Amino acid sequence: MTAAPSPELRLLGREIPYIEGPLKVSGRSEYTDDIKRPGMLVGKLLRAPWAHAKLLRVDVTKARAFPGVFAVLTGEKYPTPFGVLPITKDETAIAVDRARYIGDIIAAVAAQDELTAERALALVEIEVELLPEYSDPRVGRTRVDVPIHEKGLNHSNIQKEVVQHFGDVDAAFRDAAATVRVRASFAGVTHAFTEPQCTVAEATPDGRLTVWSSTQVPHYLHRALSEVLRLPMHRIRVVKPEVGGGFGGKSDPLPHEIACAALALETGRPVKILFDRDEVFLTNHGRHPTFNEVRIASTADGQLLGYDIEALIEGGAWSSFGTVTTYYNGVMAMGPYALPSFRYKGQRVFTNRPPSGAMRAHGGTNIRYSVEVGLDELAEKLNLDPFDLRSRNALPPHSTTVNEFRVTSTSFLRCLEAVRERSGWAEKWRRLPYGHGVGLGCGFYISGSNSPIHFTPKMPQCTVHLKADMDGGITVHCMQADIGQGSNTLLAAIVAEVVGVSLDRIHISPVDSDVTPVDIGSYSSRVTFMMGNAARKAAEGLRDRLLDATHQLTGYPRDALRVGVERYEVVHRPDIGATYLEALHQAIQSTGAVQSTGAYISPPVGGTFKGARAGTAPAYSFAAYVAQVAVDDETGVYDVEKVWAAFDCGRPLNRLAVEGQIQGSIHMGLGQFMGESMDYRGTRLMNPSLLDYKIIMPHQMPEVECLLVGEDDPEGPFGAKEAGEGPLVATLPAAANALYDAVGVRFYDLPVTPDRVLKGLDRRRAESRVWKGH
Amino acid sequence: MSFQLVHPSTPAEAVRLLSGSATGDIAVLSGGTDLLLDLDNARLAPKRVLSLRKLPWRYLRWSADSLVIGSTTPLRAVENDGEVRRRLPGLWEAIRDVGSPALRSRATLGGNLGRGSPASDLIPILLALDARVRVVGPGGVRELPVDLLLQGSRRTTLGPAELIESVTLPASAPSTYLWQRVQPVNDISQVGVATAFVPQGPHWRIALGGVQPRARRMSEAEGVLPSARPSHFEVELAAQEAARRAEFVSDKRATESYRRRLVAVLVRRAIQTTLERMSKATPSRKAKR
Ligand SMILES: Cc1cc2nc3c(=O)[nH]c(=O)nc-3n(C[C@H](O)[C@H](O)[C@H](O)COP(=O)(O)OP(=O)(O)OC[C@H]3O[C@@H](n4cnc5c(N)ncnc54)[C@H](O)[C@@H]3O)c2cc1C
Repeated sequence: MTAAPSPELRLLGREIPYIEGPLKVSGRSEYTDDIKRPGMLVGKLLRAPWAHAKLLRVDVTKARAFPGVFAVLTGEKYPTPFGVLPITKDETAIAVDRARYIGDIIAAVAAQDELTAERALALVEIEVELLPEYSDPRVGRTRVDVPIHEKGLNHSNIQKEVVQHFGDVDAAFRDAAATVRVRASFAGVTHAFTEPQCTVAEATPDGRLTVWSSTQVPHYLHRALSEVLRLPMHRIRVVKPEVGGGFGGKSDPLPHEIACAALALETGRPVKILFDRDEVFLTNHGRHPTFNEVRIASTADGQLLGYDIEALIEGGAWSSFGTVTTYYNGVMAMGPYALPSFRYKGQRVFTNRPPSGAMRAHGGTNIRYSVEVGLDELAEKLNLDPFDLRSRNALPPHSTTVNEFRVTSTSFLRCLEAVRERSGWAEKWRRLPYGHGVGLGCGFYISGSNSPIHFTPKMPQCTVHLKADMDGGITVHCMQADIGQGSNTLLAAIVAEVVGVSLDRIHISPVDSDVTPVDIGSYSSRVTFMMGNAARKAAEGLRDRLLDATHQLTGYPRDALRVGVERYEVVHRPDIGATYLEALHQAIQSTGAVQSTGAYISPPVGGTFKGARAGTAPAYSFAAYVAQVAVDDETGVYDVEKVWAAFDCGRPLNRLAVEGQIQGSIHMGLGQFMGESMDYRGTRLMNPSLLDYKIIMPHQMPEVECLLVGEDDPEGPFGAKEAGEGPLVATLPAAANALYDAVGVRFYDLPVTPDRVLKGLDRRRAESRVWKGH
Repeated sequence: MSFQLVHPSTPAEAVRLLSGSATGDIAVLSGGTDLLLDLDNARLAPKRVLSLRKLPWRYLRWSADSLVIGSTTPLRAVENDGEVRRRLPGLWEAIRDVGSPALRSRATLGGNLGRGSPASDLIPILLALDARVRVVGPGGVRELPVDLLLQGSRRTTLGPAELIESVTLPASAPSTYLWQRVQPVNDISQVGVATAFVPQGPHWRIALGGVQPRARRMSEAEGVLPSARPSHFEVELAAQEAARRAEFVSDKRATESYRRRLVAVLVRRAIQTTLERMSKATPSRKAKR
């Protein structure tokens, strides 16, 4: 598919402040917790204090009898398992027979107020038989006494195993002039979004159930509610108010959402569940704690011959997105380089810890770290500049990878060139004084998962409806989930751009399954690409109706007309035309409000082998980052002073949003690199609070220079690709490689705390290896 | 949680109220930045909370040779006093970096001492400055060195009906406070190092926080620094001695070995900074943050 050259754009490509910004900063935006319904009850969850236990008896008699309590639910009423992936449904709304981690939900209560609910929970009597606890994924790979889930491979705790081999890796390593091996470990990290999860549910006497929830994927929640509560989907209405961040943590349908709805059904009253921060941490679904090993083979002049990769990822108590994560830990190593051979073995292992799941740059972050650190080592071994090694191997545009990913646009070489120049690499690399250094890290990421998670019924990935009525406003309906990333603004801007009207004419309808056609949500960085295309089509339909009306008004044929600003006019006689309102009012005379629809269906791409769909996308983003660091070699404290971020998101449609995503990604990536860690003692999470879980603070943020050098993507809306996740992956290896340049030490265990920096320096000194004269 | 809040307006009334209640039934509230956490997580469940807000203890009083700070003075007020910054730079540094501006607007010196946290950022510098504490109680007023007030975390030598009224410090002393934390703001220090050069001999003071069981002076290390102008070698020896003698634990904030290494580095840097301050009239801004 070749795209028509993008027209002159009026709005898109500039800095467009978020349309909901004034509401958010003035506190007027409605989040789920702001929803108050008459007679609303407070829902609270009893969470397991044991990591692994058989529930012998859960007696709620006393709790039910407590004054002010309206309902207490245990697992058996709604035991249907659910999960985000249809192939691994292993969660229940409330634990049925077993508690699988400290924090698992054992009972749910709805009461008149919070205190009553808490007192009632204390009255639940539970008898358990403690089962062996598993906190180490390495142990769970072989036969265990009591597998956490029955399905565990060969009586083990392995949830998923992936083995892939493309090309001939053994030959690659046999023929290689140089090889490197990186073995790394990564602590689990979590999203740390601002808004704790919150759900409000209300069952009404007309037989309908309404659920408001802070979710990234209203549609999957809709499905899960229907399955578990055994209600047809059309009797459930899912509403997504404003969401205060998700980063992947709100993309699974979550047990409390279903438990809340169950309480509403049980009581006939509206029920709200709002998490405390420790519940947010326990619900987790964050990045998998990971061990990986990457071997890289190359020729003497730095032509890559192959990767051989193993990964062991810790899933926690449930499957969640884990099957996808297991594939991603391999295939996300693939780009942005051309690779003739590739072998991967990955395992995801259950433990009795909070579930891991999807988190920004899902599956790609840890493996890219090891690959990019490995490439830095390879460059050193081959006496090559790290830039030259990478540009030599860059994946060409319109190519197919060895695992049959279709890659269309790539501006990776432009990213390399831009960041090399802007960062002053030539004067800095290996030339800054001891303790100071620069490093390069690169990345690529999917611009939307090409396959939806559900295949029935067959439907587009995204549908957008527009309605323009006599008031002159255009209402946009789409279930895409703005979770703070600016997709509402982009949706409005695309419609305004195409129809040729000012942005304030566009109203984005709140996400409401009764009204908004399905979009499958905010995950896999799919929204700009997919919603953008659907919105463009819908807007073109509306525009065409308005041009038809202009034709009726002016007598000039359609192809002599063009879209102006709030006006449609004759190309060669711009003084002749119709205003937007004139055209609209002409158009509605016969049909009433003008409606238009657009949809996006992803193209058929990828191979046919098992697992071939994982990692396929209609387009990919590319990144090349340089970080500069300064290290205090006595305390191990280091400062990431600056990051130059060259990023190929195709054409940036809202520069403000893209730069915001890059800044935020660097913040999150450096957080994982420098200090964030889900700290466990055995199965117990030791730091479930934002005081003890250390995201980096403004003082620690480097200066960021964004270099948006992407060329238009042929299939992206107006040439755009994603910028939500790809900007994260290059951050971590850039920082690691900069530390190496500064002090000559490689770091293989994340987070790289000052303590670890000192130990690394000790190791180097013990080897009597001198670095920059020290 | 429910309790009665009482606001005595004289120290005598406060002491009377305290004497009349059984320990555990009454809690003393100053800024509340620590106490409220204890109430929130039910570590304490008092029937009454006695607020010090109306007591006349919010002041900084300078005299020729001393500074007296009232125990309920918000840290922010001390921080904003230009004289403190000029004359007692170590104290100013320690206070400036407690929590966040919002926290410092509430938190008080008395509360910090009353809590007696081993990780306190203020106790090391008070120790290094030979601070004395004035205490009121049923038996009247007594004064004691900070060192004799502290026992361990949440343990002081105060009687059940005694209150800290004020803290007395020298009017000026070249001094330095250095800390290390994961996050610069609203985080607890892994270690804190205070050094001061005081008029009465032995002149050098070195005190550590983030050590067990409580913040303490490192007299062995102080002893290595005989003169006002120690050599590099002596400074390094003192730093090593402090690191060797202190007791550390590994916890979620840092490992024992890391704390030990940090102390050696920070003691050296703190002495060097103090030496610089001795040679300059006005303190320089702390180099490392
Ligand atoms: C977010 C956060 C960040 C923090 N950061 C730091 C930091 O960086 N460095 C640091 O050192 N500390 C820090 N703290 C700890 C502490 O809150 C402060 O140090 C503060 O000084 C305590 O003072 P307060 O007036 O709020 O004490 P309160 O909470 O009012 O009292 C604390 C204790 O002292 C007792 N008490 C109070 N006044 C008296 C008195 N006059 N006589 C006898 N007993 C008394 C109380 O009964 C209570 O037991 C932090 C706390 C928080 C919540």
